[in-house]
Amino acid sequence: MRSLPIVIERKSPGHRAFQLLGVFVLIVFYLYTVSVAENFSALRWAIAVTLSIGILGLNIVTGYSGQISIGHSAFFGIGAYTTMILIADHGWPFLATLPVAGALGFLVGAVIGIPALRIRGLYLSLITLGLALAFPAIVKSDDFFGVNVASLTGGSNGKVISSGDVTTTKGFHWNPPSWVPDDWTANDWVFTTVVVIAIILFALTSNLIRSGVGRGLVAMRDNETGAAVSGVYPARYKVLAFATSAFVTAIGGGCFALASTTIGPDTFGLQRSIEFIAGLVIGGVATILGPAIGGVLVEWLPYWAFEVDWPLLGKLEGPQAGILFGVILVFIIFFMPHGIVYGLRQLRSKFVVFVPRLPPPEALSLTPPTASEATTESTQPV
Amino acid sequence: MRERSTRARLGLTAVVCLSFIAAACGSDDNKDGASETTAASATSEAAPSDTTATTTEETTASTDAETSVASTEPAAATFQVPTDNCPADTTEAVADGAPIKIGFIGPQTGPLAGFGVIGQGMKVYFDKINKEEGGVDGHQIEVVTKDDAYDPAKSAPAVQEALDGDKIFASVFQIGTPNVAGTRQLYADACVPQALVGTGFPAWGDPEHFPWTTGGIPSYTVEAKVWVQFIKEKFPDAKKVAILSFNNDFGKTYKTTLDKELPAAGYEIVADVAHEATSDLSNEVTQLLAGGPDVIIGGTTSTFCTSLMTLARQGGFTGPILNSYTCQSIQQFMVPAGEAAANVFTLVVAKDPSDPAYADDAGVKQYLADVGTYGPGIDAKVGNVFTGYNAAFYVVDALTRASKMDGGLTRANLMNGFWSFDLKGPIAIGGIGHVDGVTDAYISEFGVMSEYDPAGQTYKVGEGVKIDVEGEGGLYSAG
Repeated sequence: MRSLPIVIERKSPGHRAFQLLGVFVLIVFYLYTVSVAENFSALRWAIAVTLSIGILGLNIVTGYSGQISIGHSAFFGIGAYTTMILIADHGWPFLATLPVAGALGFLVGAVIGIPALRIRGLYLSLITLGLALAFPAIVKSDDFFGVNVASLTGGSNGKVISSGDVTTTKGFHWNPPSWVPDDWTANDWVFTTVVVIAIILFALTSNLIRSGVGRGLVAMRDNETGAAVSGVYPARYKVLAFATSAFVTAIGGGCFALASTTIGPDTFGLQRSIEFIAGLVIGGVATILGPAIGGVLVEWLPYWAFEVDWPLLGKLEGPQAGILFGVILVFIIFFMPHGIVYGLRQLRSKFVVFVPRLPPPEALSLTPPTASEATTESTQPV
Repeated sequence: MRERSTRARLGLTAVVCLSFIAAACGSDDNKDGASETTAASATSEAAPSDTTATTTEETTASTDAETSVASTEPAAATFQVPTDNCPADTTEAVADGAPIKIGFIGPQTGPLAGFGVIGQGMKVYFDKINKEEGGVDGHQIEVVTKDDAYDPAKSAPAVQEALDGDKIFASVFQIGTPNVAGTRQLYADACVPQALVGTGFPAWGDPEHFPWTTGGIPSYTVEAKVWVQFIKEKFPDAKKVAILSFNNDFGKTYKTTLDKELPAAGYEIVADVAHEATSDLSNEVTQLLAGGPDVIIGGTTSTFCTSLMTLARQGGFTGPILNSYTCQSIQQFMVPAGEAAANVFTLVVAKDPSDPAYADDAGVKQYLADVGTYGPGIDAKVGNVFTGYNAAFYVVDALTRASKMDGGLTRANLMNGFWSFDLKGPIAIGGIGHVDGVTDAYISEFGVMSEYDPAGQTYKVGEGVKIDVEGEGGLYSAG
């Protein structure tokens, strides 16, 4: 019997089987949520997925291109309000609102990206902090440079997807179409919709990161001068990173509006931005799966902290639950300092290691890597 | 290269630390009076009033002898909730001896977690009824608390969980205008009462469109009616009134009501000015004074109340100024105005358990004793605990009557119970809370217009004018 870790070449049947296992787990989870789990939890899972999309967008700019943004709550809010207003006041179908939400996010993101050309690190994060603080105030404002924003957004009374105005009874329901199983509820259908949109966005982002643009972003993050010398034009790449990132996050916001059905200005305040960053760091910076895990945790951890009847602790009052939530976060980061994805990768590499497929040895006159050499696989953020 | 990524990681670490602080901020020790519910829920501009009225020692707070009065069978016709599109269990009586779950959906974490103690106040009263009277009609009452952190986006999942998961019998005193607005269709679809919600937005008195939702605290419409009534009683010589209102939903509620009620009562509106959040009020107050008013009404909140008083006095106006009860807070808004706050009146609707003036009040004494017995460790001086205790009193009243209706204790009968109150809660400073859903959809229509005393820094509730506009609230759908 071979000693651990087992070395598997990438793109070999063994590696494919490992990937299929991941897909299988996702499918089981999906089927569990729509059929076995209680109906109301599908809604919470749907919200978690939309937060994952928001974090995915943040990952492009913070994870891959190395610019910290505390302003992504605003992009998320722009998407959510766009979808909400188009549905509630103009009767648009939900899916048609997403391109508009994304485009608006893209535009605002590009504008915010411009200061990033000159400023970086904590200083840039201050500019994005301003965006996070300004967004709720603008949403509530009835005279923002002559525009009555509050009349569009419902001001501090918020906006309800079933009715643009709290005083009317106009209804909107994202009901399942006739071809889905009869026992599906509206929640299951909302969950399915956002999962499909999330899969598309995660796949697109994954491809983007592996493309020349993605490598350019990573190169710029790791060594800007070196990247510039190698033909990566920093100005274009930085603005593009912000705009793309805002685009993805805004679509996440649009989905969030559908899932949560009600939004208010402070739904998209600083707290949401910090949730995004916490989710990204806990999930795993600069990974594709990190945002997915992060989104689930930021939605469910506070809930579990408050709802679960803990052994020893019992059922906690609100403030104590807040403390427990914080303690759980500390523990995760303590034991997996680079986030859960890297933590799991590290754990896996004790048993299974993936190595890139090399050209046949005779072509390079090299011998295949041995197990000890193969453990150099990255388990640190790249 | 290495150094940069280290620095970036440092930045991220700093932000994660921030998130812990944010999480820990849930332990907000917010000791607010019931009035803040209204203030914070309807408009974020409405600053919290952290004191309810305090009275001087000489004044007697409550002149009504009884502690609280339970509803009798209403004589007149009351609203009957339609059940045609409801699930079957809406009209099925609860099994004998089965517990009844009452939901409280509100912030338990986050900046407004101070409202969370309302649920604890409810539990105190329910535990008392469970222990001393064996519950209502043999049913023990439990409180199910769900957290939405005051974020309307979190309310829908929380409410769905309470409805589908916990199978609550009714939800009481849900907090926040957008939170209630965003979830009332869920209650309507499930035919579960969303009763006595803790926000002052007038839309909650709309039995025609939302029969499963009722309000629990005075609406701004009612407050505006109280002002008109008060001017009539206190200043019979006044003819001209000037109105200042905040240009948002909250201020517009006041303005719309006053524009209708004042002319109907024979007053001339000499100025009707709306101000923006960015204004310093100097132009607006000049416009108000230009009409030579006898009375100025401030349908605004927060520091705008302070500015209104200060600027109006500087402009030579010595007549009465009426303030919204959202800027009742003495330390925040009244003290800064100094002497300008003389001859200023505000509506006081609830007893403050921390006020020594109520030390001998039977309702407050009973409440303090009950918290001592059934809620050890709870700070009884916190106004929101009393608010919850009072809400539970209403619920028990409605449950008791529902259990005697045809068909027994069903959700439909309980909702009919919520639409047919005739009672006085232990927190009320007077009046009888009447609601029938036919001519009157608002329960809380009584208060004492009290003058502020700049020297003593207190409201003179005992010398105030009791205003009872009970039954004049009407229905929301009727305008």
